[in-house]
Amino acid sequence: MHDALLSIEGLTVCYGDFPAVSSASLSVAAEGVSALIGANGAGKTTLLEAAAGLHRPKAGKIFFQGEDITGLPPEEIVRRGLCLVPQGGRCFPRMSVEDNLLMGSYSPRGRKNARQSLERVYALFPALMQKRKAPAGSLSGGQRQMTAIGRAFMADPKCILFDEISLGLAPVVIHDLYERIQTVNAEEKTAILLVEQDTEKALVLSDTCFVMLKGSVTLSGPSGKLRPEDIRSAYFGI
Amino acid sequence: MEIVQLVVNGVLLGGMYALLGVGMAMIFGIVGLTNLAHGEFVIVGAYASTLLAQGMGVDPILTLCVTVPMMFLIGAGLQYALFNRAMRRGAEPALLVTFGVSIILQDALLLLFSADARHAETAYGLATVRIAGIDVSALNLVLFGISVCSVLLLSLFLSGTYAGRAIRAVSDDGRAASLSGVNVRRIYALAMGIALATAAVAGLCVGMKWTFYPSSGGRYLLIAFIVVVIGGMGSIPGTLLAGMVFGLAQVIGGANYGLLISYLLLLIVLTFRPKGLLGK
Repeated sequence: MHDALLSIEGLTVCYGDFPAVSSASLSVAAEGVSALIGANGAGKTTLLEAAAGLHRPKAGKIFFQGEDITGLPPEEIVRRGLCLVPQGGRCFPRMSVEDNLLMGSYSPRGRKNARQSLERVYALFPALMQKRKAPAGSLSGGQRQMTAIGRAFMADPKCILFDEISLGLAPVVIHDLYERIQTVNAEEKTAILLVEQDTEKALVLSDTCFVMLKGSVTLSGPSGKLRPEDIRSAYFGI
Repeated sequence: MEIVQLVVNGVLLGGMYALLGVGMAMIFGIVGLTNLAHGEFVIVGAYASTLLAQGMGVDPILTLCVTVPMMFLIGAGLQYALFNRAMRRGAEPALLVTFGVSIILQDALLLLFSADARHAETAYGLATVRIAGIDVSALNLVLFGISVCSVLLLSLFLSGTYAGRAIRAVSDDGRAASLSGVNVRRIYALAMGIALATAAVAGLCVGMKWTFYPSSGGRYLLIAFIVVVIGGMGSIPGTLLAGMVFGLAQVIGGANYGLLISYLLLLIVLTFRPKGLLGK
């Protein structure tokens, strides 16, 4: 656990009295790609959002680069190099694509190299270069997701959490997006934790896989070595 | 020629109205707060400028060096200490708190400065300039310059700086802004500070143009409201345009029909373009 970049230990997050995540633990290695899968309502999104500081955990600890970040506000967590690309991307619809991207470099670590980062994002997503002056609200779903991903890259993060970036997108677009994410992972050594509905895809993309069921992590291991029947039982609880 | 004169006067006045609206629009669009004390803040700015100018014997415009930073700090402080707390309990409590602030300010002004009418005198208050055959009041020209420069400066700030972008980002999606590293409450305080800084400039203009009393705030709140609604929330070009339209309505309608025409305009805009002239 000590060499983990992000480690979540016994995390419990409640909405009112209902525990959406209950004593879940997982750890993300530096430079690797990890996947988090599970049925709807298993608590994947809540777990990512709690790690990004959007929910105050009821119990448990979150460590990032060996430091306790439990209960810190989101802006403080971004500052330390942990970024969340939330479900649906959540671009700023009335701002131009370029302003959206520049917002990603708001925290001091991103601001230093904002210009270079911007060029890198445009190289990665040439479609955004063409639309840089257009309001993000006018983009297609895939382009909006690109903007959201690019915005996260702009923060120069050590680790990015992706919450179902494939939601509502065409297979070709999804394939394309994941290819770019893998490029960044390979070139920048940015660690990735992604939530994905498509189990097969998640297993192919990742080195490590976690399965969640009813708020807890029920299975974890190297993606290539998990047995399908184990995944099935961890996923459905049967 | 008379029509041209009318239009010029209307447009010149419109700059001031836009400035009155822009602070209100900012708080509406970004903080999500209906600031019922905006008119009183304008009057506080008017008192500050008038008294400072009289006390030091300088041109009222120079007092901006003091009143703008002062009002910025008051705004940021109020947001931190008061409005942010009230907003945690919902929109209605926050609205009532701003109403309370407006009453407190009005009574405080009455207590401190009595109910006497005030006015910021200038050397050029009654002078006119003849441009292309039209007589233009020098005062209106100066006030227009101050107002439009302030609005453009604000617009540049919002579009070209990290803080300005953060303000717009918070108004679009506060949660996503915090995920980009923005401290939302601090941005609220910054926005309120800027809104009060614009109120300080608007107050100076009001003080130089008209006489004012501790109870004049309501009138300027109303103007700000109308300009914001006609212009559309969060659109600075819209606010400028709305200010001009409102200014024209005032000049064309004169003392008798000015407000009536403005209300009719407001009704028409609300019916056919509920998101404002340039709202999306």
